[in-house]
Amino acid sequence: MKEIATEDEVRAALLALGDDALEVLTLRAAGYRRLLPPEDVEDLVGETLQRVLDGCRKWPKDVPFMAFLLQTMRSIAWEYGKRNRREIPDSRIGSANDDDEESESFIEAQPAEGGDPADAVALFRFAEDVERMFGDDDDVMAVIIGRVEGLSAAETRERFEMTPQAFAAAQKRLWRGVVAGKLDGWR
Amino acid sequence: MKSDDDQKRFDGTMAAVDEAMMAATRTEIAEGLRAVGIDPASAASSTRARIEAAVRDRGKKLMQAAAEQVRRDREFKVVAGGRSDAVDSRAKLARLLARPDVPTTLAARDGRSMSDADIESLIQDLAELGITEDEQS
Repeated sequence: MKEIATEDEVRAALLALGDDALEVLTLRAAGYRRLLPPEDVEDLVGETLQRVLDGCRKWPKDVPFMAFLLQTMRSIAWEYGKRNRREIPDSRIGSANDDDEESESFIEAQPAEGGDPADAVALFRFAEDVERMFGDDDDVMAVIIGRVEGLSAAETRERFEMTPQAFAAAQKRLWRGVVAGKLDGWR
Repeated sequence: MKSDDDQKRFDGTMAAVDEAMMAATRTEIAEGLRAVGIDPASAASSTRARIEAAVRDRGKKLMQAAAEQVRRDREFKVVAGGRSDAVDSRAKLARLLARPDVPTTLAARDGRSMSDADIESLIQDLAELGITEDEQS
């Protein structure tokens, strides 16, 4: 049975975060700017903090605290995305599976009214966009597929026969590619 | 099911990016912050301030909840204690009045329409007549 941190332990872990971790958190939150409407991005950090502090999201102590925080943030971002999608009629959103040409022209054609369809769709397109961007890079795709399948880094390396160096290099390319602004979510 | 798959795909892909970000150097993170228009020098302090505010807010909520609980407990104690005492007294009176040695005039009073004070007074009257539950036990 997994040991769950107490509320005091969560509070202590939050207050003990160093500058480097806080910078990562700041950047992470900013990364959602193009995936969610501005008000949701603004809420995201506050909601994450609230849920971990009040125990709505429980911290299994075998998970590193930062990983737990980022996981909580992803989960809330997904909830926001789903809510936004519900609030905008399907006819204004199109499908996340539409091909590029259709969806881009759709987004251009629809003015924001009661919510920006581009905001509602961006989150659902994120995985697709990343896959499109790194589709030719087997190692980066292995890092992504491993994570989607819930594998640890070691399991991913074993499954895809990657050396630790190749894995780290692939993570670096993934990170640089995303931050370089080639991906909507990080511009 | 489709939605679960979408979420799994989103979560896994974003987790891969998150982990790549956590593996990045501090210099790279600073570059990333600048790329999204955030001054790396103030990033940590502003996020720390948000965390401290959230912790304070949670502390206040807990204090308020605790104070509210104490207030409710007190109210409950007063109300429940009073009710419980009254119920006990009525039950006690009923048991005493059911005894064969109780004078008929008193036995006719069933206690149902009496106030709590009247009940206590009648129990006292019966005690003066030597009719108590103590003598029975």
